[in-house]
Amino acid sequence: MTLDAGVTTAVLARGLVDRTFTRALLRGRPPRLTPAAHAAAAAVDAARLALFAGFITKVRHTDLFEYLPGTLGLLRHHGLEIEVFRDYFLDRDPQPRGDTNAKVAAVTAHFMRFAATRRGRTVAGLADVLSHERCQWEVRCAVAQRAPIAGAFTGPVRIARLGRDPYEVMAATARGERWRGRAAVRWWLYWADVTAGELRVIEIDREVAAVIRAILPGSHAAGPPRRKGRKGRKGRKDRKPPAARARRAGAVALRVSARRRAAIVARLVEAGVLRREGGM
Amino acid sequence: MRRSRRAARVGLAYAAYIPDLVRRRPRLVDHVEIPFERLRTDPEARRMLDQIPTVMHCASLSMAGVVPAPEATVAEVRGWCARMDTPWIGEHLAFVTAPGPDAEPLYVGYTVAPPLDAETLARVTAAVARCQGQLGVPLLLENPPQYFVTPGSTMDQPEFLRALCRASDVGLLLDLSHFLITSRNAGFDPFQALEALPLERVHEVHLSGVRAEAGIAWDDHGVVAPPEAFELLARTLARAAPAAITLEYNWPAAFPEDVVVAEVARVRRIAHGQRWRA
Repeated sequence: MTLDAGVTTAVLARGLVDRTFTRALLRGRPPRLTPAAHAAAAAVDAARLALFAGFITKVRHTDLFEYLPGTLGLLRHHGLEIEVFRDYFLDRDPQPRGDTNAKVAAVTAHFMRFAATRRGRTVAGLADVLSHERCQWEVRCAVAQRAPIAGAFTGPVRIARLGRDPYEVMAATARGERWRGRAAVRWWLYWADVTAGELRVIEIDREVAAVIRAILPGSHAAGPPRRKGRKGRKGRKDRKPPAARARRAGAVALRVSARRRAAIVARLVEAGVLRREGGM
Repeated sequence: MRRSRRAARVGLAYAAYIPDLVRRRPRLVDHVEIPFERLRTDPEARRMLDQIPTVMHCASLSMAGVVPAPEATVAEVRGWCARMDTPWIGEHLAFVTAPGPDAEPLYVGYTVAPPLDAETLARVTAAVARCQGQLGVPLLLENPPQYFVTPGSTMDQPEFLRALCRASDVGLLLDLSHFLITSRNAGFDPFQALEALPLERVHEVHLSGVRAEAGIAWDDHGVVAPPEAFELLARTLARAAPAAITLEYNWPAAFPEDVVVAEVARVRRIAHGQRWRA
């Protein structure tokens, strides 16, 4: 059957706009179509069409480069950027209603899900760089929206537990290299110094992180998604007490003495992070 | 030795960083190419019309599509042409809308390369004749990047461009990066294919970056054009005299200024170097 050019353009356009149709093409099971459209659909390279849809989605999100340069750079360096945007197109509405913040929120959620997959974990540092950039974006959003400031802090705050130094990862990517350092858990504080009009990113230790978490209401801590615990021998789940499991995993299940806490609070007050009267 | 001819004007495609760059370096480029779609929504883009010569670029007329652009859109494009005093409109040899499964047309929101066959050739030729009369300025058609073989195609892109130039008097906006991408994805030699193009019909040239991913060459306006694109430019200018060369480094909101300046200088060197031929 000779293909009709007009019908072919209709099939291509639908494959680039309607993700349900695209998924059906990828499965080799297009919905009920006219004979001419069916012939065009059968002749389309569905895999390449889906990648093109990912490319278009990526181009539509070029404004995100400003907020997620490290994350996008990493994906690009590993040759995964268009594939990840293809999956975003296929899995989610790629045009969330609302402003840029809604777009960033939707895309970072998708990137975080990807970072937790087996393929995503092959990109060393991806989850850490993404968490790092997301925390900075969240703090900037909170400042821009004049969100109420949590607890005794002088500006919006986030803390993140990262397995790799995001600056080292991004620097390696900028050099065209893959980061090959050792993973080591570190804590980072993202704080909007509203007096100076700056966002400060400060590496902190576990004790400081524990104190800050105790002060922060709700969940303001971020970090890469945790892998589910592996079963031990004989298929039994890990039976260690929760606190010990958490400590082994590097979580902040830490007891800080009152004296030590007071010293940390004093340092945070001196640094301007906490209000003088608000420390514990 | 041949007579010298005027070197092509060198310009940049509009991006968020361009207005400030042009204000601080008013002699860096000869023109800024501004998309019609940006003129509708961006007051900074509109302010450029009073600061530097501008050329219109457009991605709304769906020249290779079955669904013609709405009359209101054509009228709006015509209005902006007059305000800009643009020497031409650069549109795409592509479609942006197509018939949908129900009565409403589907809007892709991006230019898509059409099937390259006699039916598309006839449709494009008719669209050119219609638009040239409606718009009041010359129309140039830009070769799109091809990321896959469009089903139903009976010609490759160079052949289609030759046929188009025989069938109509439309001018060409030769995007050398798109040409390079198409050659890589379709598997032909771009330098050989360039020789067979009707280069005398080229009025404007585009250059942008190219990136490989998932086994496909992709357009990338966030990086500089590859060396092969500049070699294609030199060969084009050896045979033709386009009026303008435009660098499309316009996806990011910011682009390193020293890089932009160096790239403009590179294009000028190539353009001036081709003015004299033994």
